[in-house]
Amino acid sequence: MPCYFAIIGAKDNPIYEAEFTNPQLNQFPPELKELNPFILHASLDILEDLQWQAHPQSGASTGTSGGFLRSRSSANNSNCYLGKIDHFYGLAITGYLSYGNMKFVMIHSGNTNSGLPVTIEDGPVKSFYQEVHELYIKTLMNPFYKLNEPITSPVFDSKVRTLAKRYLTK
Amino acid sequence: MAIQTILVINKSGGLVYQRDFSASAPRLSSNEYLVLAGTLQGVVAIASQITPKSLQITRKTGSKSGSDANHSSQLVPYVGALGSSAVPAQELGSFMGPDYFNEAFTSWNTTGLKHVTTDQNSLFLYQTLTGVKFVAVSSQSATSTMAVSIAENLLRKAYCLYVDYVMKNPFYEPEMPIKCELFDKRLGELVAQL
Amino acid sequence: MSASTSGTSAPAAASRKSLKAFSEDVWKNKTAKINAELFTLTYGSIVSQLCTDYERDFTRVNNQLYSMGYNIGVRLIEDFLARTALPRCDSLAKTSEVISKCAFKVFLNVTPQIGNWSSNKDSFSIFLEENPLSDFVELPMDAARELWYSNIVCGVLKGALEMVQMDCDVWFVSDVLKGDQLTEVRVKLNRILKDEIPAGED
Repeated sequence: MPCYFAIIGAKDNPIYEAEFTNPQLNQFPPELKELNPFILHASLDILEDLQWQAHPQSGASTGTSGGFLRSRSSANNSNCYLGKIDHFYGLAITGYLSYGNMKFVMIHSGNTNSGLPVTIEDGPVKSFYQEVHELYIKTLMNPFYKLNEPITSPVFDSKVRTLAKRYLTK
Repeated sequence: MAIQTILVINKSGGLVYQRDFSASAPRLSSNEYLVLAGTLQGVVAIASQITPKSLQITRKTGSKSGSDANHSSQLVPYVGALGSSAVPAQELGSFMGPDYFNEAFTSWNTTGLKHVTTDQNSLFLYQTLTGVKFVAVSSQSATSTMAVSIAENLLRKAYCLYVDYVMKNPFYEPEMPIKCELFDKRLGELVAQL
Repeated sequence: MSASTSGTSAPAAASRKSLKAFSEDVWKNKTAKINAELFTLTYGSIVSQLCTDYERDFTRVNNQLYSMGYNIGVRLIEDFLARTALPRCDSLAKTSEVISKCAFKVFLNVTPQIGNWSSNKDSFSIFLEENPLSDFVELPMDAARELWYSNIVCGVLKGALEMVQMDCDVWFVSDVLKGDQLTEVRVKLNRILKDEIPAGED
């Protein structure tokens, strides 16, 4: 399924965006493609809302719905994944929030244009987010990268795309 | 062994550090100490010049044949903690473990002046590969090899302190007089242990 | 780390054990350590700040790193000698071995390869397979051509060797950060400063 992925900085500024498609499968309809950034930004409000809830009840049953704040004390970062947070005419939007308040968001479109709501496989999506998070941390460790600035590194880009191939656009 | 004075002489023969540890230490003016430092610098050089060539040759050939006998005298044995109580590890700055070093070592100073003994005093000199000299003056006439190795151990430890508290002090300028309180303090502790 | 002291008059430590085991011991038991990330990030922030301060004039950044390294080297050599009490090396080959197996091991916990000797044995290369200074680093586009990110290493070597009376030139030949296959540091011995060798050594 095609996906549109973006990392949004602490000041709601996009610092990275990418579209993952698979040539064998269908693409984003061109008229929708331009709307993607708007759809994503619209869901940021929801994400910020969820951020402070003890029991975020996101649309999808994420299985990790232990609540963001409540599980903050837990050592792992499994609670960063918020699952499906929004939907837009059959498109599903998932979110992931790093502890540094970087928002990782993604639009998932279905394989068919049937108009049926997209089902999210939480497992692979969550793994994708976690690994991108790790890549992001490595980028942050680069002394020449400044916080909240767009990520221009081609290495980062290609690594994210490899991850997307593995987890999302199979 | 009662250490009276410790001096540090830089590679060009300038006195960069002088400290008395006992009240009975002879009072020399700072100018006299400067002269002493310069003299020692010269005497070391002369001593290595007048070391009989035959001695140097035997040492060289001895080493080629691989015999260890000629060199046992050169190796400074490790004396162990130089006092009654060993200092805890965290007191040793960047040197971990119970002591600064724990093995016998070779003195870099092979043909130069190492010690001077008179009836009342003895003077020991330890020279590093970079040319810094550590000098200790003791109020005893020490002639035994044991006393000499204790002094060499002490001075190498002083070198370790110099490394930690002088060279690693970012505000210390190389070759300049040492005014580092921490170095003073640690050196005092080291000498007090004896 | 140069010239005389032959054969068996090596320190007890180095003659009994191999240089490698000896350095391993020094590194393990007698050296205070810090977190690698803290170290890498500290160095990274220095380089990145220098780039900003010098308005991305990378030649000047290289020079500044070099002179910072030099100042470290002239101090660090004393620490190295106090810790190891190694004898003066009798050849440049021995020096190169001490640099790779002992100095790099003790201070950076890496053991680079030595190679590429010139025909008259007065220069050699140090191949850094891993460089703890440049973990995480990706050079920005404009810096990729001129900046030698780890140039401080050259300065350190230069300063340290000079203090043991070896006048050397040290420079980077290639760096994996720039897309090269290897990270190579070249060391060339110009001359041994005989006048400055402390009296008393033969």
